[in-house]
Amino acid sequence: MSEREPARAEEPRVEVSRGSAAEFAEELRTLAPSLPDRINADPEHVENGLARLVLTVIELLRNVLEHQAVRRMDGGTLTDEEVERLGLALMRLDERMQELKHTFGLSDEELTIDLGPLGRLG
Amino acid sequence: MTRELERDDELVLSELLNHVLDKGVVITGDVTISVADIDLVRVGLSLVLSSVETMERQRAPQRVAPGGNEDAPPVLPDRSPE
Amino acid sequence: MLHLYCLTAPRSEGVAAGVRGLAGAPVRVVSTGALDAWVSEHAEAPHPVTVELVREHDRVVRAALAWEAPLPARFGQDFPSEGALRRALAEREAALARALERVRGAVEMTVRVLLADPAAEAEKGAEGAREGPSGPPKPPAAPDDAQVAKSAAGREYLSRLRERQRREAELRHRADFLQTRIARAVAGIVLEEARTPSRPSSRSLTISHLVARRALSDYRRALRSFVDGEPGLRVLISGPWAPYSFTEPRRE
Repeated sequence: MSEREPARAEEPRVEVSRGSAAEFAEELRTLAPSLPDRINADPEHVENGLARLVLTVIELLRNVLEHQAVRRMDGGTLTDEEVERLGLALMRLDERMQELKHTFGLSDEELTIDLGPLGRLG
Repeated sequence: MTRELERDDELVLSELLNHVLDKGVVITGDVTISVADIDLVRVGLSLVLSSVETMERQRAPQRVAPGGNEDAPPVLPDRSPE
Repeated sequence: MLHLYCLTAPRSEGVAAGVRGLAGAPVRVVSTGALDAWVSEHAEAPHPVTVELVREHDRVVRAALAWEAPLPARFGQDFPSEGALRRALAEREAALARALERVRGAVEMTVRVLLADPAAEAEKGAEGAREGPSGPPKPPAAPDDAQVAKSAAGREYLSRLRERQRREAELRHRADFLQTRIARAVAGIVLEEARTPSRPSSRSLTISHLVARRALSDYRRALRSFVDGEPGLRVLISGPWAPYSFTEPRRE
């Protein structure tokens, strides 16, 4: 059997609409942080797996709560004071979540989950 | 109208990374939690097991290593900045 | 330490012969009978992860693709021993064999579409914080009743939330609409489509298509024709890739 060059499939090409390369580059950066931005998966930080799971679920619930809150506000059944309390509570919750995400070094992209049919929350 | 990008264009690179680092089959240990037949969360099993082991190790001083090193979770690549 | 590149149909030894992977290490095959795993041996796991290593990984996957569609492995799966790899494979052998069958003879193409209209964005940008309530000013300490009656920060927060949800709903509808149009354009040519999950605020849509290799030129033609017929549509088309996005076992 003679030496042969291992076969290779064609190299993937990328084409973009004219003038949109920069915007796609930025979009891809948010979709999937590039190499230097990746979190260092240090075996000592194994809690990250659990934290990510927990925070993902919390963010899911928070998203639902936020949609419901806006619906209630628009529904006209809340007093001004109730609206204010609701808004402040959600604002505080948002603040806490940003802190937690920062503590565990998790980006919003990493907490993204596909809800499939449940994704229609609006 | 579209134009083709050069091989070393940043965007071409991002596409490569997006496919190779974020997709592809994972066989190292996976738990998928689903509700109503919809996958919601995928957890790296090896990471979760490590957490449990750590907790148990803290409770009982003896080593918890039934399978020896063979069962150690695969070492994850260091994704620190170049 | 074994680095895993992909899973292929059995009897791939001849194809793997001569292929070099990470850091030039030779690729060899671990056969389970139902499928082959392409691996290379290293003293330790690749560290740090560099672009070159990622390229080398994909290059091996493409060597397999030139023969038959493999199941590409996500980068970073390293096994302490062949035994550990075999155990991992044995656990899911049937599902993996099915997954391999699913992608046989096919490649992946990726289509991305920008959702936001640049002109409209310029208008909205003037309104202020685009992310909306994600980065709020520090909320005041828990106010008493009298303070709550006077403050409006909570209501303002909810208003910004409402605005953000409205924008996200618009993006989502646009994405759904485009997905339908694209699906129609390539109907009969693609084997499967998979939409990549994204955040509600994401300003792009990503669709992966599983395309039979022999249908690739038809696919490109159909897609180009669609894009040409949509003035202002901003797309990115990449491929062919090994079927990275079609490896998860489907629900039967």
